[in-house]
Amino acid sequence: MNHDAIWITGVGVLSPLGHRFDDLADALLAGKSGVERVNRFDVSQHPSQIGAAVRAVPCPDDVDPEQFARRDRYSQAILWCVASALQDAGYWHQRQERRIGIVFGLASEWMWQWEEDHFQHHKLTVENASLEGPSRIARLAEELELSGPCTTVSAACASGNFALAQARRWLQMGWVDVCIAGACDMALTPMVLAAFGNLRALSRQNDRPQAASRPFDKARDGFVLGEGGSVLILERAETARRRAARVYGELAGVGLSSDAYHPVIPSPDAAPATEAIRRALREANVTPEQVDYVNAHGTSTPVGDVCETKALHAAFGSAIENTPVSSTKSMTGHLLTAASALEGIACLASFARRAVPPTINLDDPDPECRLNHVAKVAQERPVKVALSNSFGFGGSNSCAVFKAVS
Amino acid sequence: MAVSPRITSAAADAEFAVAVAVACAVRPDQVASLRSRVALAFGEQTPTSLLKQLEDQTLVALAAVADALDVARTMALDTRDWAVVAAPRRPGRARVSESIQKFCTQGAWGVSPHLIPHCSLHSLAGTLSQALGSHGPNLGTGGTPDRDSDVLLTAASFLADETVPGVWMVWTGWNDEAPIADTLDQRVCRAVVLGCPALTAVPAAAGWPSLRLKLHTYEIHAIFSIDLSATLFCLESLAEAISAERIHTLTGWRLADGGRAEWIPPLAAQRVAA
Repeated sequence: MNHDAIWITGVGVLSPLGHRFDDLADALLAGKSGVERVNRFDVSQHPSQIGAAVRAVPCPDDVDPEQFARRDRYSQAILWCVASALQDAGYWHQRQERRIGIVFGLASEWMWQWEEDHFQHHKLTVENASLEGPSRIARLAEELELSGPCTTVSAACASGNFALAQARRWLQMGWVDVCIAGACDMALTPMVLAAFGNLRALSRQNDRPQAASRPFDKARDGFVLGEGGSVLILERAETARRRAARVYGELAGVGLSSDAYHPVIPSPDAAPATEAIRRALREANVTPEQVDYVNAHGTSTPVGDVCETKALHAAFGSAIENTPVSSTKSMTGHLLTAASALEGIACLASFARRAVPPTINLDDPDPECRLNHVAKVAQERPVKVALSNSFGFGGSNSCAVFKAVS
Repeated sequence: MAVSPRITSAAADAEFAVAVAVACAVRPDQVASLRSRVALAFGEQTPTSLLKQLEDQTLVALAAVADALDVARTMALDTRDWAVVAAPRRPGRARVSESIQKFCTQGAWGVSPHLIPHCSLHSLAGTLSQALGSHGPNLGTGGTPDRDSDVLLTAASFLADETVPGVWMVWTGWNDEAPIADTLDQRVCRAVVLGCPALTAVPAAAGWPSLRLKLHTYEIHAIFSIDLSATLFCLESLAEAISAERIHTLTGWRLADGGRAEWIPPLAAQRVAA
């Protein structure tokens, strides 16, 4: 195993708040909400009628716009994230000259396809498997002529951090020279909005969309569905140094664990989530006192936010009293599979802008979520170490630690 | 930005010591009866409220894991906190089809809230992790029939992490995803489970078979010259390799992205070592 540091040298983002790193950073630090009433389809009968949508998916430079327009929206989103990240890293035109691998979080590409085909194209793919093709990620890797291994992964809302962990290992194991890691979810569809709504996981504050996602606030009543994707380009520090690459930060450690408790509800015992945070800190070789910013999972669900608070207190001890914490889901909504990848980028934005993004809508903090909240407005301060929590259905816990690189 | 000349780093192979290997095949009419087997095997970890919502592939995989756990116990293998890496193949087809119909007739309220928790790529791994009471990481991978080898790529990266003491690799899928009415008598749901402790935990005299993963240390583009005549690694061919008739036979597959996987029985493993 090569234990050289793993650096992030490219970013691709598709979000309700913008499709470039700088646009997303500006919006997060301005406390801008991307949530609105869903208008892409009829939501009059849905329990939750709001979401953080991506309007049009931009076509990447050097991709034929006509060919791009023929792809489905999901494939467009993935291609945008991957292509713009490779371009940002300076690898787009040289992508066949490196052993580039890809680890990508997609929770249910077939379910999306079945729904899309049925309602948009009147095609019964769900009942006829012969209409279905190979995985989107395998197809993309072939199309881009990437020569490293590729894989699709899902740990639900923790998928992005799991993808980062696996990409980091592949680099350390020498399987790849460069690795594309990220996730995408275009879940703002009639069926998915209905399924999560009927699960009572979503906010029903339909009359005030921009105030509906309110992590850690007493009046929170569920998360707001968002959509988008994020991709990071990872490579060993030595490789990045040699080519004088722009460096966004270091992926210093990732901790993973499972609750083994319930498919949907987080465990009331904070020990497994705490262990994921501790492992990430150990792997990154940092103490809780050295962490300058915690990007919380903070979904805005009554149960989840309390469980995360307990885990942070257990992992950090008294250091949590002084560590700024915020949940950017208050602005972006919950991007599900893509959430942790996007929130990794929020951590990188805190390095670049020397500021911590806020939790908007935090009017009345829940006493059961006692943390050093960055409420409503960004806080200017240098950030050298940032930690990003993500927990998911299936009891998956994950925590990634990022370090600024000077 | 200029890119410096190509760096060729050596790709390391990976090896799994296979302590437990179980395969099963279940016809559609047998699936429901697996609930009692699963309930007995996992007790409180799989309450009735969970069992009644499980997707068919998950049930079949749980039954196979119950068998694998029995074998592990006879070997006094400590499988607590092993990671779970699981690859179902497009789970939820029947349930999503039903939900689409309900959405069309009843609107949003007709969509089952169990759709997402039980029919996603991670659903199988999460349920197995809960049933096993394991706090190691759990992850769904692959998801389509062309990507069964994704399990190997993920499991290898987990075992490279010294905090993971072992890994359960689980594959499941229907042999035929065609509409149920057309091929009812020929449909079979298979599951394969391999239990692999970290190599540092394997007793020297264990004499277990191994599964070797050889990612090519290829020159760039060598991927396009791989031997396409070899069988692609998949659930069905793995089930055949671990069958009683074949388990002592060296078997090789090509991987979807280039490279090879090899099933190496104990005697062959000794020959390779020599």
